[in-house]
Amino acid sequence: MNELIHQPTRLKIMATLNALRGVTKMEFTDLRELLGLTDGNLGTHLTALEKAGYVLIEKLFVGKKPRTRLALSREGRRAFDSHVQYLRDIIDASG
Amino acid sequence: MNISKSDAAGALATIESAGARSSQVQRYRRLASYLITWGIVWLVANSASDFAPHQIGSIWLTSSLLGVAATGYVGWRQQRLALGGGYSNGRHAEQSWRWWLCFLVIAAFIVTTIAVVPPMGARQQDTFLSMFWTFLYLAIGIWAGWRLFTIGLVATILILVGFYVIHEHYFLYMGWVSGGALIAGGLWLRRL
Repeated sequence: MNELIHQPTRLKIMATLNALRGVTKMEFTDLRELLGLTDGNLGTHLTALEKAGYVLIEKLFVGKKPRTRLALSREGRRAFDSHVQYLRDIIDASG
Repeated sequence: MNISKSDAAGALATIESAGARSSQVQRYRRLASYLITWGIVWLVANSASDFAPHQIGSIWLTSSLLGVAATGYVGWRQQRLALGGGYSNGRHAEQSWRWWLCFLVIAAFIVTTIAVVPPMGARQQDTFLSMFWTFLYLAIGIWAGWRLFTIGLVATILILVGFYVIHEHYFLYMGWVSGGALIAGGLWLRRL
């Protein structure tokens, strides 16, 4: 059981980023809108996931505007897949 | 910490729903660029046809070729973004080849239909081609999401209104209303 991922908001963050195609990255603002979170709330959860090595955070400037782009790391995808498998096993085990 | 079967099912439902929403947003954004590209082609070609009705053939040939080139560029750019600027692997190359073949099949269908169905006036041809694409959006929308379906439905209705109601400056109407609907639809698809 991965308690870091299982927290409801982080679970949604991980699931949303896991659905990205190839090496596509998602804008911080898009993820915030999709999940209906505030900047601060999303930032806190992302920091926790980044510390665990699950999320890659890329900060760059487009013109003069700062932009933050997000993606799951390889380790993050692996941890997410394991957690999904763990959840499925619970359902399978209890018939 | 152990979790119950119902908690596990709830978490899986959350994952399913968040993943589906994320995929849909990506799909919409990919489709939006194509819709805007062809909305611009429709707008320019129809408007030009209204001002130079005797050159409709060359206007549409040029516009369509430019549209195909722009479509190729959009597809190439999206693939590069998806690959993070890296080189395409075999699977992407095969998919790209199949998409181009689909495009050729559709183009061949349109050309042979226009050859077989005449006599067809310029208005009929324009309406037929426009409706062909909007019905395709309806069909794709059934799979891709309700927004694309809505865009296809609105554009189809506007085209039919144009065909049956608008007699003067029909092409101008088609350019601004039908092309405009595609551009507006593309911008709508880009929104979350």
